[in-house]
Order: sequence, then C-alpha cells, then structure tokens
Amino acid sequence: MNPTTQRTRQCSSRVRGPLGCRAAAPLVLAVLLPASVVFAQTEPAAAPAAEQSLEAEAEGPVDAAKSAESPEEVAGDVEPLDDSEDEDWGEFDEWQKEEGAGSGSGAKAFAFELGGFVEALTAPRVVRSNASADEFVANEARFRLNLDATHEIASARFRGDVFADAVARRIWFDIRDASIFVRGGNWFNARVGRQVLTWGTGDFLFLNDLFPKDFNSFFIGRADEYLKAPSNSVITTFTVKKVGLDLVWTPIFEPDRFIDGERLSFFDPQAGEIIGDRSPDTPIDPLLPSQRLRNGTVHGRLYGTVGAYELAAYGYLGYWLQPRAIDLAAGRLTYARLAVYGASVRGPLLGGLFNVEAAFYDSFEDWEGTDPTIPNSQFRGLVGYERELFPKFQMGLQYYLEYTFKYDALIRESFWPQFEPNEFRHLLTLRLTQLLVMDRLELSLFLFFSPDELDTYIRPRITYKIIDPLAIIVGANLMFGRDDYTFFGQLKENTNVYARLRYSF
Amino acid sequence: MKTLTKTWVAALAATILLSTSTTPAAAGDLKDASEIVNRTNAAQYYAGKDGRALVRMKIVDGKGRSQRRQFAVLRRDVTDGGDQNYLVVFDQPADVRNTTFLVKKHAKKDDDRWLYLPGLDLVKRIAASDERTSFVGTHFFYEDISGRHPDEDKHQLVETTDTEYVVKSTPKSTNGVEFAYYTLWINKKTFLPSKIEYVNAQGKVYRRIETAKVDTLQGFPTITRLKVSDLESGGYTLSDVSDVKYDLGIPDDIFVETSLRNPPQKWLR
Repeated sequence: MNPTTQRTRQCSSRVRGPLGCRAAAPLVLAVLLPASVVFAQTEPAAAPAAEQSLEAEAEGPVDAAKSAESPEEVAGDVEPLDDSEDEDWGEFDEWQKEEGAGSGSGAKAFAFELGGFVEALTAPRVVRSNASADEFVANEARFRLNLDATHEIASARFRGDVFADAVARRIWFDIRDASIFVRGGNWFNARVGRQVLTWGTGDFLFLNDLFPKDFNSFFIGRADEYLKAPSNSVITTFTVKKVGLDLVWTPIFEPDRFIDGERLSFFDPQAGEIIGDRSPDTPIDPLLPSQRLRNGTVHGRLYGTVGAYELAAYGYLGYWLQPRAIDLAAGRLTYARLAVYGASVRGPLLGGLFNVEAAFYDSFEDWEGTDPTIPNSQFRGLVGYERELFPKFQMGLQYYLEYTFKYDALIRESFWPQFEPNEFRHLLTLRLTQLLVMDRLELSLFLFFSPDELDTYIRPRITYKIIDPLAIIVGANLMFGRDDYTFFGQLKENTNVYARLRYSF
Repeated sequence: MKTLTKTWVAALAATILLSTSTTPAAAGDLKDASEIVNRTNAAQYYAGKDGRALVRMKIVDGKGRSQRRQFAVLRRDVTDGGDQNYLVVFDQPADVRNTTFLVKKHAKKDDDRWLYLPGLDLVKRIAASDERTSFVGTHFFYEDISGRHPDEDKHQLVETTDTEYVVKSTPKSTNGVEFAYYTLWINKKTFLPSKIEYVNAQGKVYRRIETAKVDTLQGFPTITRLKVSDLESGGYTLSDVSDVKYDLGIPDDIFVETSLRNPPQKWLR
C-alpha cells in the first residue's frame, strides 16, 4: 500500500497478522444475534398490561372535557380545561413512568446528544473472479459514534466510524463529520470542518454534485449514506427572501474514493482486461494535485422556489473527481482540472414529482479534445419522475444522458479507442419501494440499465426493523454487461450478496 | 383582518358557551354540521398563528411489541383555516435522529413535502402520497396529523347531547378512503373531538381515535393525549404532546431548505 492512496490517508492505525480482523464481523454478529432474541422476548412482556387497559376502556371512552363544567374554564386563559386523572387512561401514566418523569426536553438553552450504532456486514462474491483474490467484497464490524452539542446560535457535530475490515485486514478510523455550525441571524449561516455535502436532484445520479463519493461502499452493501464521502470544507449559506446561496470551499482537493482494484476489480484499458488485487498494477495510485491554496475546489449553488417548483443553478471549479487523466512524465494517473455549470428544476407533476437537471462539464485543459491524457468536455442531462402507484408503493424513473464533445478527436487520439464509451451514453434507472408491516419492512429495488452499453446494475434490498433499535438488511449488488469495459460491465466480477445487522442507540 | 375574524369567532363562541351552560341543548346550539366541523378543524389544527410542540408516541402492535417515536414540531399558519407550514425534527427512534421533515400543507392541492436524510446530507422531495397510510410507522395516518379538509366529506348532525355534537361524515368521493363514513363526538365548548370512529362498508367500527386529555394552553384548548386504535389488529398508538407554546412569532422564512439541514434551535427549545 502506498501511503498516498485515499484509504491510507484516512487511517491512523492498522492491524495485521494472526489476530486478523476476519474474526471481528462474526464476533459482532454473535453478540448481536442473542441480543435480538432477548429484545424479542422482553418486549411482548408489556402486552398483558396493555390489554388490561384496553379492556378498561371498552367500558366507555372518556369525554375529554367531562370535568370542564364551568364556562369560565374554557374562556379563561390559564386554568386547565380538563386534568381528569382518569383511571381509564392509566396506560398513559404507565408509559410516562416507563420513560421517567418530565417528558419534554424543550426549554434547554444547550443540549448534548450521543448516539450511533454497531453494525456487522458480510458480503461474499457470488461469481468467480479471476482478478480478485478475496471471496468477500466486505466483511466488517463497525462502530459509529454520533455526538451533537447544540445551542441556539452555534452547534458542534461529530460522526466517527471505527471498523474492523477483514478484507483489507486492518482497522480503519473514518471521521465522517467533525464540524461547527454558526448561525448569524436568518440570513447567514456557516458550517466549518469535516462534513458530508450533497445537492442536486438525481437519485443515485450526480450531475452538479461534485462532492466526493465512495464508490467502493456503494457496491459492497454498506448503508446508502456511505456513498457520500466527507471532505474538509467550509460551507456558507446566505438567505434573502427565500432565495439561498451556498458557497463551499474545500481548501485541499478531496477526490472520490474510487474503485482502485484493491477491493473491487475494474477494467484496465491498458491491460485490456478486468484487473483486481491479483494484478501488480493495483491499487491504482494517482498523482494528487499539490496541496496549495490555488488547488482547492469551489462549489456554488443559487436556489429558490417559484410556487411549488424548486429552481437551482450550480457552479464548480476544481478537478475531475476520478483520476481520468494521465501524467505521462510520471507514468501515473492523475486528476484533470474541471469546471461545471448547471441547473435543475424539481416540482409536482401528475400526482408525482418530476426533476430535470443539466450540467456542462468543462474540461478546459483540453477543450479541443485532442489530448488523449485529458478527458473531454461533456454535457450531462437528467429527467426523472416518481410517484406513489399504490399506498406505500413508490416508483421512480430516470433517464440520464452523457454526451462527449469533440468525440471524433477523442477517438482519433485515444490510446485505446475500442474501449472509449459512446459519444452518447444513455442510462435508465428504475426505483421501486414498498413499505409493509407498519413501515417496519421495506422492499426496495434499484436498477440501472444502459441501452447503448448493454450493461446493468441491480440493487435489490430488504430492510426489516426487527425491533426498534435493531434492523437486518439483506440485499445484492448484481452487475452484468455484454462487454468487460463498460461502466457497470467492468464490475461484473464483483457481483455480491450481503447481509447487515445494525443496532442503533 | 385575521385577528378580527378570530375575535369575532371567540366572542360568538363565548356567547354560545354561556347560553349553553344555562340551557343545555337549547337554542344556542349549532345546527349546521359543516359549521361544527369547520370549527373543529380550526380548534384542532389552527390554534394560534403558530405553535411548537414536542410529540411522543408509543406504538403497540397486535402482539404487544412496542416502539417509540419522538419529534418536535413547529407550525405556522399561512392562512387561518387554510395553508400551513410544518417543520418536524425527529429525535427517536435512534436510527432516524436528526431526520427532518418540511411540509407545506395546501388546502386546495397536494402538499409539498421534503425529507432530510442527515447521513447523506440529502434533501429529498417526497411525492404526494396516500394520506390515509401510516404516519412514520404509527397507527396515525398522515391525514390525522395534518387534518382532513372539511370539504372532502358531507357532514350530518346526528345528535346533540348536553355536552357534545355527534356528527356523521360521509366522504364525497370514495377514492383513496378506506371508510364508508366516520362519526365524530365533538365537545360543544372546545369544539375538539373526544372520539372519532371509522366505519367500514360492512358497517363495522374498525378504527377509533380517542382524546384522553385536553389542556387549555394560552387560552387554546389543546388535545395533549390521544389514542388511536386499529380494532382489527388490536394494535394502537398513544400520543403525548408536551412543551406546547402558541404564538411564538415564528417567522415564515424558517420553513425553507436550510432549516432541514440545520433546524432553527431558537424556535425548537
């Protein structure tokens, strides 16, 4: 492992050797499973009491204002209308007793909250992989700590993960948030520090969102939130009459946590095949821009609403988030400069919601498209529609287009023209979500399909909240493609199923 | 103008109440069911110009297993009896802590709703959905929380007792409703319902909402304890409202996207 790669930078401790993190995930599962049984057994114990009170009520519901006989009480400002400590409603009193006296946490000037979760994830590959040595794409036990200290004008937030990773055989410390928020009246606020940032209207498709993503997490069954990677940034928000302006500055460029071959295999055009950790060329170790002030990135968004419609304009000045450029002198991949300008609209349509978003990717270091070491400029467009088809059953559809400018020059100059994506790359997505059993069971399917690249990525998932703090999630990441070099096709050897168990506190 | 209307309504209410107390079920009683239901709607959902509350819910399923929900709500009326804005900040269960929910409720068209998922820092717009489905996994429906528009039903005054109006409400359109009709027991003084029973096509009561406690807060009679029962499954949800404050002067400009990311603590505490 080279110390300049993404993952090494976020890590400060590693465990190798006989202990092996491999034991950790099963261990956490072993602890959590009995715990779930205990919960399942203890909770119904409350049932008899509940039934009793139900019976009591059957005798006759309470008239809310039965005791409020005098008109003064109603017209009066202070006197309670009805404080009938009615025996019929003993279940409320019992409940209050269970939770301790003093229900509200309201009138505090300062609040401190602690939370988090413990989670185990295992995700075996279900196809044979020649490129990767490990049969698992993930096998990990994670502990998340959330701390919040809130005050009226300022607050501090911390979100940190520590996880034992049996695939990389090490312990990771990943701080996802360590930031301070300051409110300067209704018109200005700012958040400074490490944080996750997101904007734009796409569903799992990001056009104007040039904040770092973690594609490894996305394809191995980690929770959706891990698709977004944190960055050390400052965001300032100015609001004037419902028009907002967000400005984000990331002083040190934060690229994607891209697929580098170590955990997930991908197509290497130079090798002409799918490569993984068995290849000496992995993990990919790109050259990062030097950490100078002028190499930081700037993101902007101006947004507002007109009636029910949300309008936004976006701008970005920085780098491509993936190492799509080549430094020939160093013989390494690197990041080309990039500016992005775009806009989006979102609003109601025919009982559902539509969104339209467009972005122009200005790869200004090679506008003519003649330099094969720098990616060409692109237009990216998205149209989406979603609505509830039946109660608790949602459907979302998206069409996404990627058009590459100066395509003739690109093909003419490319080192491997046979592997270049099409001039027009089309992508369709479908999301289906069904909630059942009082929202405790969620069946979800997300599907990507490219009609021109003939590849697909299918994400089925079942989430079941066994009992409030405990949830089990099972799903799959299924990648198929006619060719090995297309966007999803190259990931075919990483096809996996996964199971996750999460205990929140 | 709004204040004027309110004063007038209050004066009228006072007159009625006074007369009611002397001669129960007499001339002072309202005869028009729609008028009663409109008053109920106003009393239940439009107390004050704005408000804040902390809501705790206990969900008990048919097998006796229980779950918790806890959230703070900020509300501001855009027009009295009409459009409203809501900001909901979840505290429990733990896995949705800091999830926030912005609703622009419209009397005449679908509500606009946004959900903020803090892990992804994602502001997600939510498509209009069936109003008569579970609100965040409780036995309450969205419609119970934000109110069903009185114009959607035909109202019929069935009975006037010493303390209550009994109103039968039949939906004008059966589209998207699971009940044949529902009956409201409405307190004559507060205009708050003490009980609502939903009856299905077979004539069976399958769902009941009961008021367990009413407190007068800043002059507004307020339901602070409520129980909704699913009589078919035996499950029910208890709701307890505390820290209620009306007319805080919550400005309209907090009901925006920025507040989803960073809830306005000034009004929440």
